[in-house]
Amino acid sequence: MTEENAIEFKGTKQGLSICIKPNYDFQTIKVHLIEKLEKTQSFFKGAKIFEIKGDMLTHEEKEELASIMTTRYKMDISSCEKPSKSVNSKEEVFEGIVEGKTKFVKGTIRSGQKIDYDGNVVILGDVNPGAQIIAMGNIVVMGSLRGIAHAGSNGNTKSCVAALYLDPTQLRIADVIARAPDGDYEKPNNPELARIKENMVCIEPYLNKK
Amino acid sequence: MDFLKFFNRDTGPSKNVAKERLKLVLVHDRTNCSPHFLDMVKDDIIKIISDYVEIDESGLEVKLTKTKRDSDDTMMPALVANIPIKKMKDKSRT
Amino acid sequence: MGEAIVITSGKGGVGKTTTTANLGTGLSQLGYKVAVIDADIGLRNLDVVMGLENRIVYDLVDVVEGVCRLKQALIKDKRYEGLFLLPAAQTKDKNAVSPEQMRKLTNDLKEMFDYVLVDCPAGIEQGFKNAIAGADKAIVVTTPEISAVRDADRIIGLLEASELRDPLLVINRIRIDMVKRGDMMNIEDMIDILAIDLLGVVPDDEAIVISTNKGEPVVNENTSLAGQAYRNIAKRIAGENVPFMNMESNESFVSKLRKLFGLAK
Repeated sequence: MTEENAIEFKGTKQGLSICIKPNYDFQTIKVHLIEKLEKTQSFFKGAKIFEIKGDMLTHEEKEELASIMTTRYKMDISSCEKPSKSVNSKEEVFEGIVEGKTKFVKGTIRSGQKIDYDGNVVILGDVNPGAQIIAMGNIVVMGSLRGIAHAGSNGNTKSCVAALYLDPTQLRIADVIARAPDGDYEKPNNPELARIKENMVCIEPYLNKK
Repeated sequence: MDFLKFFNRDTGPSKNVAKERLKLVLVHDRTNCSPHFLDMVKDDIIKIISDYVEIDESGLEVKLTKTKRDSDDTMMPALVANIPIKKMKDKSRT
Repeated sequence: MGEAIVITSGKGGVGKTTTTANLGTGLSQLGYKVAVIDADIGLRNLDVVMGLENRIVYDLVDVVEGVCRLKQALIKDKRYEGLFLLPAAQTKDKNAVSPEQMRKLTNDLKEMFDYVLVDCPAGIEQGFKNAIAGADKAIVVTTPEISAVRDADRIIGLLEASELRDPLLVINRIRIDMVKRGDMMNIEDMIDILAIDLLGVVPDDEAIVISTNKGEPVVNENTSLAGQAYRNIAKRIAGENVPFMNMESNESFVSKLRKLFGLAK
């Protein structure tokens, strides 16, 4: 009975999703795949494969499985290339910006570090130049934001970026990009909030000046 | 280095020191020669020479330096072996 | 078809990035189309030296991984029309790219530009191998210190082993006052030891620190000695015969011949 479960075929809107369970060695997986396809050859002929899921498999192993399915069983795999990435971009816009899941990160985010989260992000610390915060929702920095912040990374134009000191190298909200002006510029010392207004990133204080 | 002291009261120009040190380091770097390599050379030399002469193994010294080539005065790396001989072996052995 | 030149040194902190930024700017001043590539993945800096850090959207790794097209990742310089920067990724490491991919990337850029300058990371590991992969020529930067010259020597050997023959030497941060006192190796000393051709000498200059602070290459500063030195080097790369500046030469400096030690490697 475990044999049957090594590989699972699932139908989705985009095509077949082939799930490989962990804890099997590659040879067994290959044998199971061939067994399964042998039994139902005509059924899968020409079927569109959307993705091959299996965290345990390397890219090469996935390629090998794909080539078995395309050459021996005439299945169509053209649309399945970079599994993880193509799935992400098709995900729906994150809607939880008023109320939704949030990640809290404590400490300074330094150059080269990257926080990427499918929700709101709150940083209890500074974000240094060269660091990157990417969130599908809002970004709030309880410190200085000097690195790159990308709010609404999958397209939510209502998301915003707020920081006690907002001086980012670059600010992106949904697909709008803004950068710090060249040369010297004056920077107010109070907390500020950035959001999209008329397709531009607009920065304004969110507290009345004291 | 004594003559340098003559020119400069306390120490010689430090650039000369730098240059000398650098040259020596580079001789080693360029020949890619490790202390282990020198030990191997040393062991083999002992092996071969012992057939002919009795040598003082503890006093044997093998090192890399540089020397001027006679033909054009170009500096060349040189392998120098200093082998103290205790006594010559009987020639009939060969 | 352009020419790809890698700027390398072995040792860190001798001025590879500053040299790349200034030669890139200098060559574009002369009217050439130039691309500068930051190959120091994970520790990028060429962007800040050129003052373009806030324009980066895509980087070298994105291009290699096919996330974006090459033209999308190229950042146009603030002043010069023909000057573009391909920044390194900051959140990845050197292994994100292979020498094969770098070779392809440099070749693609050579189609579009007259000169492609590659800023090599310090060290002799993967990053170095990537940076030199697509290069036609190499410039070795060193300073008049034992450690830097020793590393330069090692690099020259590695370059020759990778079929990058006859690299050119840039001596950076020389201090004439110290050379005169005999407390710093002079140009002849270094040429003598490294036995490669000299491309130029850049004096130690406060203007470099100031211009880096501002993100504007010193080559734009007409009054700076270092700026003048970089302008001269750029012209020499372009094939002009520019005499060495007075401070660059010194009375006894005549030989540029490879001779020392009689060792090619």
